[in-house]
Amino acid sequence: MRNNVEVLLVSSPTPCPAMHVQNAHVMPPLGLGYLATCLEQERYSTRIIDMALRGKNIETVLSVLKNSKPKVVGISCTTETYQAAERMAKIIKSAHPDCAIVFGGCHTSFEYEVALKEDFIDYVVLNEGEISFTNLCNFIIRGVGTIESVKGIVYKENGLVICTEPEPFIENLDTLPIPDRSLFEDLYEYAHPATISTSRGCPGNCIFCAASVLSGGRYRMRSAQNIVAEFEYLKSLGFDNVIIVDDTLTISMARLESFLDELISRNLQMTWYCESRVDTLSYNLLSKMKKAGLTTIQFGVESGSQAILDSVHKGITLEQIRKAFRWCRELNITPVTNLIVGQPSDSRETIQDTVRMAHELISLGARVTLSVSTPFPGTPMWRTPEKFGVEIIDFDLDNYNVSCPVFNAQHLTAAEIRNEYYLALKEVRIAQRQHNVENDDMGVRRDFSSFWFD
Amino acid sequence: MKNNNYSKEIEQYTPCRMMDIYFDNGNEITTGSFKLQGIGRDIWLMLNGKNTIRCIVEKLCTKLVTDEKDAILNELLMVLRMLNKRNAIVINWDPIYKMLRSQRLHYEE
Repeated sequence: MRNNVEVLLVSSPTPCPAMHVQNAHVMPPLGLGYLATCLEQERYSTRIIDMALRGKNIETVLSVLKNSKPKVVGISCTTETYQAAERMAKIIKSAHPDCAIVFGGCHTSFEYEVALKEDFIDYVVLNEGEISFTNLCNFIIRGVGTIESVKGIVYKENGLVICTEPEPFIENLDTLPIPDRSLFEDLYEYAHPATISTSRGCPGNCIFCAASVLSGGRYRMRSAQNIVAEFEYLKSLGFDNVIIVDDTLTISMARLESFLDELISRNLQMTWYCESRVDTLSYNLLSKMKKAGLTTIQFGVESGSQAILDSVHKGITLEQIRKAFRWCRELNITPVTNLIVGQPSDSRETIQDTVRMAHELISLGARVTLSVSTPFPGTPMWRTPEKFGVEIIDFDLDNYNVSCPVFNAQHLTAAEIRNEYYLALKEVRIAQRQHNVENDDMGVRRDFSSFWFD
Repeated sequence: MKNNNYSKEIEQYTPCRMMDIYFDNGNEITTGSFKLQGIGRDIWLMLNGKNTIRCIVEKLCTKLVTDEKDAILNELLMVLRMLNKRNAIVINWDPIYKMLRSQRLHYEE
């Protein structure tokens, strides 16, 4: 554990108790790993605290502040974890008023004005932060340059919110360092400690997703050699299974083939998991992915109704879905999928179509999870809900957890969506038990003991 | 509220549902393992990690048109114990403090 910390990076916790009962967040915050590694290369001493880990709390953060007096605290948050992040920032600023508080992550990249209304938040870094945040630390800690010269940030001056010039997106992702996993103190506590990001962005236009906007509307990739070098690094740390966390791995066939060839030729004896669209695969490609070590693949199916798929601009067909899952069954690859209930134009009938699709996919060996459609900042649904016939009725961001309905849709109220979601979940769980298919809880442990009344 | 059996501290507890997944027909809440009707339903809907026990008692007193706060508190704590034993709620939840927050409901000197 580091004693001298100049930059403290904190990942904000979910407000949902059940996620903490799991005894570990499923995966480490790789984005903070990238930031910390870039800062360490600039000879800053950093520390990462992932508040999703059960043993981490505000006292952990305050203890570091008291002992090391870092000059900068970077807090990363999503929409769901934003309010907890705000509360932490307020407590930190009250105890250490000279410490600069910087927010980053997908939520504040869009909602920076709201964040900067608070006195205790000094800066917001927009989009990917490797360059912007490093330059901001150079300004705050080493007095390099001016605040206006730091691209890609937002700050306040005389009551005005000021956006600096945008920092260009990093075109060649190979130039980024491989995240130094030694900077994650509790790496082995995670259910899936070995994660890799091989690309940024997504060329899709789904109305419920901000992945494309967050990446400037472009899809950028690391080279095959660069990715496999990170596989080798993780192997050297003792990991044999890797989770590729990209929104979708299978956009560029050329890069994918090159990656698979490289993996096969290096013969690392590692298994991996990735996400993919169902319309960018072939049987032969899946077969090659299996040969290269793929064991589990997640598909974004979203709905069992073609009308709903079209309404959310998913760009896939039901037949493509069925083909992809049948191929996985033939090749003995475990398919995983999430289905979304309560889409803007969902009705009871289309939700039933989705449940029927869930049954069908479970019979093919799929692990199925269900979530509730949620309009996150940056998504078309958030920007123009009326365009989708959606009336957002709940603005408590703690409820933006994809299991709590926050809007009235075209045909169903939020209360009705809640009930349909419950019924759908119940059916799916029964079907999974009947087919001996595990829930997709990714192997997390559940320990309720600390929360029992005594 | 004055109660001889419980620490004053518990009035500030913020009980919270473990997860927000349940069926609500307007009269009855159904979860995977139990049902709650009437006041039980009202209590469940207030368990969001933000309403304090004090606040919940006051709302229940208003609903039930009573000023018997101690009696209401006793009933509420019974419900919370039951729900906690079923792993349905955390007695006193705050995501940034987590297990630093006391979960004890019985009287302390």
